[in-house]
Amino acid sequence: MRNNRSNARQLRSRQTAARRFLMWRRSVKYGVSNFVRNIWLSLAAIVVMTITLLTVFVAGAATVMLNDTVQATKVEKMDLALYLKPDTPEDIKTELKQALETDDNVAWVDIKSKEESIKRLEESQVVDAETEALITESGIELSDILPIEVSIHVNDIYNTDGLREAIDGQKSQFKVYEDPNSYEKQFWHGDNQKTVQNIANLANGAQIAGFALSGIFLFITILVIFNTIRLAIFARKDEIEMEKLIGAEKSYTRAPFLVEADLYGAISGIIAAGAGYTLILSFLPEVRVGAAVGGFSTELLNAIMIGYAPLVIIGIVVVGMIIGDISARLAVKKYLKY
Amino acid sequence: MILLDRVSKVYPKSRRPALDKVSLNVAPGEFVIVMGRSGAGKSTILKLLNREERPTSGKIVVGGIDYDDLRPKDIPHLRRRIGVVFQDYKLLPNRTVFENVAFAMEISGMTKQEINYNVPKILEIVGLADKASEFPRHLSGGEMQRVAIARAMVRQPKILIADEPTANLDEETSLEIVKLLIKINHYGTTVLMITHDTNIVKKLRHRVVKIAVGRIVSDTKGLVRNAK
Repeated sequence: MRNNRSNARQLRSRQTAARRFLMWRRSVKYGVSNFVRNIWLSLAAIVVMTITLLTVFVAGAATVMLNDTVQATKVEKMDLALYLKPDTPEDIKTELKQALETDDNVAWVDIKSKEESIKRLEESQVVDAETEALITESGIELSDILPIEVSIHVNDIYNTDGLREAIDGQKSQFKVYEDPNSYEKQFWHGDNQKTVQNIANLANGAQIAGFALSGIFLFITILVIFNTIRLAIFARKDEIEMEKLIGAEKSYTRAPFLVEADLYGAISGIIAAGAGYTLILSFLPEVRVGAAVGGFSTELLNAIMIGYAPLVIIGIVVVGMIIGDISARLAVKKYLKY
Repeated sequence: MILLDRVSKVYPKSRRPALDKVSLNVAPGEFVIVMGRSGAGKSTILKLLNREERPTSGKIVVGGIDYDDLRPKDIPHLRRRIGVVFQDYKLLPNRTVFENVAFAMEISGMTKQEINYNVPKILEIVGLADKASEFPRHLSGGEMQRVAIARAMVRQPKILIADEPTANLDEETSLEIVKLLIKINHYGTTVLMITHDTNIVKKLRHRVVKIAVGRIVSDTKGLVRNAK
């Protein structure tokens, strides 16, 4: 008895699922048919949506490139210098390096060798010929008196308080090896900081401009698709009325309009992805040259564009479909009274 | 099968009620003609039965469904249980006769096999088997009305409501349409025919409910009462 009831329930649920699938297929069919019927309106909607998606795509690519540049510049060019006494043992240096690298904001720690320190000192031309002659006369080796430079490369130049605390925290452990004269000289390299700041400002500006432009096009697209669906609803007013009177579910009447708008989104997404890829890939060598001259990094952009191409394309199509769907839902809610 | 109990309907911005405490009881399998002049309230009865409008007061029960208990989501289901033939046919101009009739089954979630089995059968009954692939614009008024009847009947409802099915038709065609409705009634379907055509009514020997200014003024079966 219980088995029979359970079987009947299963059968009913299978029938319901089959019916829903059938209705969904019919909705898609009518959505496609609406799309073809209003082909000129559909094309207009697709053109506008393609421009929007292309703007979003290019703005996104530019944002990735600029942020990557900022990040790379920060890590490569910005470092915090800490100085140790020249006789600091190797194991202490290693321990300090490991301790510093546990900080999330630290990309890597570079402990300069004595040779590197001498070379850097020479290059900096801080020591004039007279002083150098005096040092040579005194018989002191430069390597014996030069402090050991610990170069700390950070990820986020705006967030170094934690790192400073971490270094201060380590003070007691490493205090004895600190160079008392040079510790206080820990610094940000002034010019590099300015460069990074400039690129960061450019990235922020480009991001804001990209968002603003995308926002404007998004608004226009929503209006155009909203209007297209509104016109489609008006064009099918009698049909909708008839459907309603003979017992069509609200969702069944509504679905073809959503399918139609999703189609706009999907087609626009495919075109925008194709156009975006063509645009970026055909200009990538120029972008690379320009980037190299301007100090921009295209590595991440390249990695995303090539390595995640299917995901990028699917992403653009999905964004297009979401925009279409939202616009259509707004139009349906307002004009398809049930 | 159909019960209207002291039903009144007052449209907004209207001075007098379209229906005024109307009570009507239609038994299963009955053929009832609701007759009256334009503006008498006939179409309001159809709108109330199809739940296009809600009564201002009174009770409506159709096929065991009490309209007071109806939730908005139940309305499509109710409409699929009642076949309605509209005065202006309400056919889809860009679909063939077959597709127009099939449409009623499609929205009910019936399969292609069910559609391909039932639609030709109903087109045969209404005498349009050879017009299945024609578009409505190529049909006469009588033929369009037959398509509308086929669409209303294809889901085999227990109740068929025909609103002015003979309007805009010549006498001969009108008679053919009425004969078709009678044939449907003989299959066991309860038929409520709304008309203002006295010539047609005179030729029929069925129960006639006359309605004027929103009130039932006569009922040949004598089962109708006008509440006071």
